[in-house]
Amino acid sequence: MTTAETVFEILTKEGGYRPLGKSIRIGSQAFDFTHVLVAGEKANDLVIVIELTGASEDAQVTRSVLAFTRALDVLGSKRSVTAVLTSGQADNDLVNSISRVCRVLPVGAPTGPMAEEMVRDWLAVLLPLKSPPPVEHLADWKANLEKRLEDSDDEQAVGKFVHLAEGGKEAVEAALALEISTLADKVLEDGAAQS
Amino acid sequence: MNPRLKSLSIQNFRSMRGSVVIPLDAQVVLVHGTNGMGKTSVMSAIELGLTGSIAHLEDQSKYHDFLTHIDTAGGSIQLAVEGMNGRSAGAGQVTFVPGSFDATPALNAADADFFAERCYLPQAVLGRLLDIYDQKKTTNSRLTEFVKELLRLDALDALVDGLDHAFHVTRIRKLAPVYKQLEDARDLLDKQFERERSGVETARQATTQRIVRLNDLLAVLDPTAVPIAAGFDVAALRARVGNRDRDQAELASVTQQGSEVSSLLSRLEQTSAGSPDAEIAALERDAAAIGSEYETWLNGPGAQITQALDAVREIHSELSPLDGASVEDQVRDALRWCVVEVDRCQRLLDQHDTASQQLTAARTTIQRATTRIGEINQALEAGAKDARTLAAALAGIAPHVEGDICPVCNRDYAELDSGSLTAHIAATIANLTSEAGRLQALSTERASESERLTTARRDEATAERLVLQPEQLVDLRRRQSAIASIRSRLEPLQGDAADGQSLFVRLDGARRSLAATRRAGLQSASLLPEINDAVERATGQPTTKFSGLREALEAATGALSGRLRAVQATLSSRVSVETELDQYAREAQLLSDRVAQATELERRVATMKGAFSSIVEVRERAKTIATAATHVRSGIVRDVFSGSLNKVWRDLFVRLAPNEQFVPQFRLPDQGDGKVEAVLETFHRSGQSSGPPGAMLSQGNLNTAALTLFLALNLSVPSQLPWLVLDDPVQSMDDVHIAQFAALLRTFSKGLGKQVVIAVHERALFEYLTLELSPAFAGDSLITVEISRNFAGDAVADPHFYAFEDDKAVAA
Repeated sequence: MTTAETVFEILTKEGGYRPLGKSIRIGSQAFDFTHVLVAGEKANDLVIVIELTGASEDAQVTRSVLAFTRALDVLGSKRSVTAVLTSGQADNDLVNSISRVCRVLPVGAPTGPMAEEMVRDWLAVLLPLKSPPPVEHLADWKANLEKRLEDSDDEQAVGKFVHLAEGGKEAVEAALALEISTLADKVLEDGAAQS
Repeated sequence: MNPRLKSLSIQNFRSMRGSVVIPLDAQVVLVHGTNGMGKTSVMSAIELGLTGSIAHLEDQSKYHDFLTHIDTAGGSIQLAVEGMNGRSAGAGQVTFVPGSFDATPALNAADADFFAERCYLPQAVLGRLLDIYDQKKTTNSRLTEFVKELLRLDALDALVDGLDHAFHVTRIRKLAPVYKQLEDARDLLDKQFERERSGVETARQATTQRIVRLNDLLAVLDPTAVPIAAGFDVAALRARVGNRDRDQAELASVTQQGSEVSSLLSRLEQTSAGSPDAEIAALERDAAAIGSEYETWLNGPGAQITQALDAVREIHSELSPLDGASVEDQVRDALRWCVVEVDRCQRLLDQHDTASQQLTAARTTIQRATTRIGEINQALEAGAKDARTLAAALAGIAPHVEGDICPVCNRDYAELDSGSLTAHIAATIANLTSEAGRLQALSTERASESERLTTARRDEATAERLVLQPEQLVDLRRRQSAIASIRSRLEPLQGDAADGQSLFVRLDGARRSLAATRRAGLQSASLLPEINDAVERATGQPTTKFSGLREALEAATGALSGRLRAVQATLSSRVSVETELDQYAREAQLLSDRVAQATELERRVATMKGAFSSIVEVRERAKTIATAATHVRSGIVRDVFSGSLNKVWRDLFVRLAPNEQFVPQFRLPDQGDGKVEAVLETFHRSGQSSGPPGAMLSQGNLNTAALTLFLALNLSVPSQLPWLVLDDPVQSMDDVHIAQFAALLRTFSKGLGKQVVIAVHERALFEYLTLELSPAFAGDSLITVEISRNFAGDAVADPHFYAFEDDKAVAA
């Protein structure tokens, strides 16, 4: 799979983008990019995917991107354009010149086991943000605590303190203080009675 | 309906003079103004309206006094919100004049905290955010707060914090003040117990000593009595000791006999003094003459002999004590002993001299042989190293020598002009060989030296045994000369001794005949039977056993006074025993009291110990629970960090900086004690962990890291308020980052439904964001506000409203 195809797949499957075909007409002008995609419902992004091959000339690529964005401007379109440059290495001049008119993602051609991951990282900005997993399931601390304390032979005390903890730190402190005070008081009273 | 900021109106606030109204009722509000126009004032006004304070200025006192525009006397802020579901009145109002500040915030305290902490990122905080969250404090750090907020683990925290007291005894004291009292009581009790125990010990010793004393006294009374031990019958003993009848009878009898004997004695004196018997007088004269002669002898030669013999006795204690009857024999014996002893001393001294000579000789030999063997060993060692190896090596080289070229260094030996190389090598080998011969001779010599050394050591040991120690030697010599001198003194006294002995024999004879004559004279006198009777009763022996009547009576007096002393002693012992018994009874009572007291105290100490061990159990249980709870909490926190926060942060960071290879994250090293201490670090995208962000990221990406951390924190906690208020967060971002940031903002506003208010100072960016954040669907909205000043210097807000327009250019 070429990098351009990977980009296409990620955007369509994960980003909800729809392909517009290889050629696209803006007003009266026709443009020819490797892929052109448009964002789904809640965004108005246009993504053009350009494969830089041995045949690509920087000047020609620059010109076609500038012409494309210019055509959109002329029609008063509010769509924001992202140019994804794949395969060949994009040199700085090229990136600088087209980044004035659109967002540029010089993906290149990542290789190795992480290749798809790297492409996804580049495209992340075009993809919806995954909400973090809910934390409630992590917070079932009572079960965890009971599991951890199952070896201790004092379930009653554990249960008592867990229950008290619902009432806040002060309740726990008070219970601990009471346990100690009761023991201490008993001895002190005995001592007072004796002497 | 979601909570939404509706509108803001500001009068004379900070850099903004006059009154402006800023509409906020849109999904995205973009505020633009060049530096100094009051963007940040707008942001602060939103915060003030919502929370009633400016969080990042809270630690600076008196910021309230500088809220009013410098040219004006006072100002105000009004902020409207909606969709708060009753959590808010829907409006915030702040009025201020220099020296007075009055705020009615739109949010309640909890929401206000959430807004200040999670929704609003002032420019001042952005730069410090990473530092703020990299605090190495474990309790109440911002991260801990975040986790608490995220997980709502209040009960677990309460458990951990509430039971934490159990770990420190000082905090137990504070928590349960009675514990301190208990400790004091225990210390007091311990001290009392200790005192009581030593009291018991003292009392016990006292009674023991008393018993020992009693036994001593009882032994005086009755040597055959069985000694008493602790716990004896005091009353019985008292009864037994108190019986004095026999003693008193004895006392009476002794007193009576004593007076009889003394009267007899005085009558006897009168009798003998008045006797006219001529025979007795002659005998007395005779005896007196011999006596005076003997006296003269005793004072003359006798004294010398006594002195000399005393001197001998000092050295030779076995010599019998001086006796006038055998003085001649004694002198002879002493002289004989002196001769023998002097001879013995001389023999020992001779033996010593011989042995000393032998010892000196042996030591000299040993010293020399040892030194020589040392030398030979050295020579052998040095020789063995050089000669043998070198000779062998040279012999090995010799066949390889051709001409004068050295086979080792390839130099021409002829250059030295000292004969041929072969001859030189041969000479060297010969030298070494003769050296080997010398070494052989040396080792033979060493063998013979060793033999000599052994012999000398043996001689030395033998001689050492015979040699006398210096003190012994001196003693011996002194003894020899002392004896010799005594001997020379005694020898001329031999004749005197014979005289003395014969005098003594004569004197004795004279006295005996005088006494016999006297006794015979008294036989007829009436006194004799009485004397016989009294002496017999007092001493138990007949008068004839004594040398004379006077002596017999004196012996009787002596015996009687002895008996008197004995009976008096017995009586006083009885009194002492009774006193001691009284003391003993008192002490025994004291001892039993103290033992009872100590037992009681011991019981109380045991109870006290029991209480403390119960408290320790309580504490241990609390500790167990607290430790487990801490572990559970850190486990959860760790899960939150690795499963939630780090993931979101990475996702956001990668969006903004897709080509940065190092991504920031929180690492949670397991401390082993259940405490969680988050460390900021970076990891390479390949998964390898790396250095801290400050070292690994550029300034721009550090900013990005801080911004994304803020957004990640916002996303990770349950959203109470769907607002993001950002004050110019892109100051040190490059173009690429800005484009990514714009897309990210769009994701937040359009994808996650957050209401975004953002201030920017750069015109191009403002316009770019206007385009990027344009409404993308029906219902989406954007407001842009230009903040500037009119010619009079009053602030002006110029809002633009954008609504969704279907895009005609690309038929979607």
